[in-house]
Amino acid sequence: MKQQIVISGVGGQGVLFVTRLLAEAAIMKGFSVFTSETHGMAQRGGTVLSHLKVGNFSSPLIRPANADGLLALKAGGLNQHGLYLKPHAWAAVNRREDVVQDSESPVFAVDADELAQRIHQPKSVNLILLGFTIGVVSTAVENRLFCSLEDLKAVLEKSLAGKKKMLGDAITALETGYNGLRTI
Amino acid sequence: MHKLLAVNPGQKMLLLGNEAIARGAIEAGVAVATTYPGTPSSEISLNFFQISQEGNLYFEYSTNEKVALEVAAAAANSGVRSMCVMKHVGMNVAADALMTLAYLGVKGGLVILTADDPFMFSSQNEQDNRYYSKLAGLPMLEPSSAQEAKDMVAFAFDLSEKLQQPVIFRTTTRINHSTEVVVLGDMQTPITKGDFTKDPFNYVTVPAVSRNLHIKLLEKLKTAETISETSEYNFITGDGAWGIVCNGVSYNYISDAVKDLNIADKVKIFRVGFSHPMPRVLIIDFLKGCEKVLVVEEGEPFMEETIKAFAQEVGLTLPINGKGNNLFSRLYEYNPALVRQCLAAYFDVTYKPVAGVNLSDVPEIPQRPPSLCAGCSHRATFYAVNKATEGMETICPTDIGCYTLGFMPPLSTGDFLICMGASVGTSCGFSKVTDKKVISFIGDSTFFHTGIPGLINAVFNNHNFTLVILDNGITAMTGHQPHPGVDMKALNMEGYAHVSIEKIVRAVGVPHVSIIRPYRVKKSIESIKEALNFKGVSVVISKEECTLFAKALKKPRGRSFFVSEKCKNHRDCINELACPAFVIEDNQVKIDPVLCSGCTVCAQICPEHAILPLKDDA
Repeated sequence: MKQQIVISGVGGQGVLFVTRLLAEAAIMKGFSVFTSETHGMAQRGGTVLSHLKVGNFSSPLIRPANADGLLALKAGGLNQHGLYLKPHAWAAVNRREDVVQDSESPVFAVDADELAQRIHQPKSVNLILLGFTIGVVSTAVENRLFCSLEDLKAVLEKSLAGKKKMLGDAITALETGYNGLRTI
Repeated sequence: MHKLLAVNPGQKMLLLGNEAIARGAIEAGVAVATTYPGTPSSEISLNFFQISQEGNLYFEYSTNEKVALEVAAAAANSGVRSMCVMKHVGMNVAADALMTLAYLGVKGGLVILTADDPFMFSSQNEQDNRYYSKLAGLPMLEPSSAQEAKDMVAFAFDLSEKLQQPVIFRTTTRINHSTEVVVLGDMQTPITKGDFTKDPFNYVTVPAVSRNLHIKLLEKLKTAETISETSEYNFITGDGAWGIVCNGVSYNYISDAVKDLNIADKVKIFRVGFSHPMPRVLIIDFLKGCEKVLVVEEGEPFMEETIKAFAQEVGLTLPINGKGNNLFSRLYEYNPALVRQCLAAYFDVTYKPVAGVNLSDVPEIPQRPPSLCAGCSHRATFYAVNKATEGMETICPTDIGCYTLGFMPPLSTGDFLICMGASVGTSCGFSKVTDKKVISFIGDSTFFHTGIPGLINAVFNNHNFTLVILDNGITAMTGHQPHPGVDMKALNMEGYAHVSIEKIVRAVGVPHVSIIRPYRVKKSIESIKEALNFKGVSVVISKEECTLFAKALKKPRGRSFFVSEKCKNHRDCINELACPAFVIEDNQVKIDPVLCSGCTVCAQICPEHAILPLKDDA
């Protein structure tokens, strides 16, 4: 198993949280993992980019045109960081408008901001997009994300043990994204 | 219990490079740790700070890196294992202590960590601190991964005690801020009490003493070189005739590239982890088995020049290259693609980078730089300064912190920035030789760090400018670390005193001091105008808690505001404040209630009084 994922967003959206969650899921499944992140700007609204490499790698950064998937927590992330995607890679994008999917690179869009409002968790865009990636993107593409909804729930249950409210909210957000298109 | 205190050797844990380094120090029995916070090193000390609340570790946020090193130097010379952590430019501040501490040496282990920042993700320059090891004559270690960083810290303490010298531990952002699975090791019990034996003829560096100490320093350096020759951190893999010498994160890029380019049988890699002094004999042997050699190191040609010198000494004439045309640059951070490309070009290997997704129809979007947070009190202060200086020709020296971001339009309150504390010193120079009004900015933590000597200079030499001290009650930029002006009792932290910025400013004799609350817009503008009219040194202390920190402390916040139908689209709010809580929808300004912190500044400046508090938090 070798998978390279780019996660893009802006400070405050929880890019690092999603990265950590996926990395923990990878470990739980027995894969080795590297992540590399932008810190410092994380709370000042600047662009935040995370690289996640699952499997047998030696170095932490992803080369352009080598990523299997992209999670863009802001629509502009696809424009800015799409260069990391290899042909036939997928992208899960938080944006309002529908995206025309082409065969070379399937782009899947969800209005995660709207869904976040709907579940009264305006700051849960990160988990909604992640849930969407598993529930919608992974069912449509061949190179599906290395982990399942159950894997992520297990990691959350461990990392948020004793924080019942936060855990409940996190799982609601994940599931909202997972059921993404169907509930819109 | 703090996760890094888990006594479970062999356990695997997902750790950030900086967490691994902190864990390594704990495993090595560090008893004293000091720092001034600075990205990319900040998480190391943050973990030390947390651990010190429950363990045997003494940790302090010192006022600056020089003081931090002095505290650690004394502890180490009393036989206690100590660590001093800083970002690369912090080493410049600590350099005065460092250079002569190298003469004195240490008794207990002292590890000085410098976190370099190639590409300047969050720094004002990308200086290569490996030269400090050469300048000071100190041994230096450089890890390539989080796991190695953890293990290397323990080795660094042992090495320091063996040589009786401080050891420089040099990382780069990519090591500090990458995570991987790390296997935990055994923990040593720290020895927290030491003793100091008087020995003035070895410790008091008057010229006669230092002349002898310099001899000792060179002897220790010689011993360090012999250890470097046999260190497990300097190793060779492969036995081809194409030589590659690399360090730090570049080693990982090389490892992946050699595999992908299918040239593993042709190359021989020398990974240098003990990089000062360089292992001369090992390097010369390595060169003898090579046709040509590529040196892969971010930053300056530190290893390259040394290796070329070694080759010259023994008459080797093979090509040795690193920086140059079609090869590596001194600029910025390296990445896997660049390393592959240079490696392939140098050894004439075919390499075609794969084409990515065709994005030609996707429009380019503007860069999104970081900005002051919604409701940031700095924005309010800058607005007031802009109003107070309307029609004046000004020069605004600024300093290092969140408020540096005020240099961006529309606030545009930053014209000159060098380093921590320089806002005050440069104000003296600008006001002396120009006729413009000089108004400068410094944060509370930076004022304690290196701002005070400049202010005393200004008073003594009778300069003429206004200094605004932006006191948001915490070291905000690096993640809310305390400083001497923080009321630690209010944070339920025992064992600290409080130092008042106002009392310092008055005590050094500043003739005009005022205090403003920047969310009170009109009053603030008036006070700043008064300060500007004063001839001589005037100081305005702008006091308002960092809005992010207040949120983190779960303090009650004001109601969010909204733009009512009274709005006539003057857009003073957007054009003069540019708070990120504003959004434009259907050509109307709106306020994102989630981002709005209720600071009320936009409501105060709206000419139509159209911005009103929401009735309930919707």
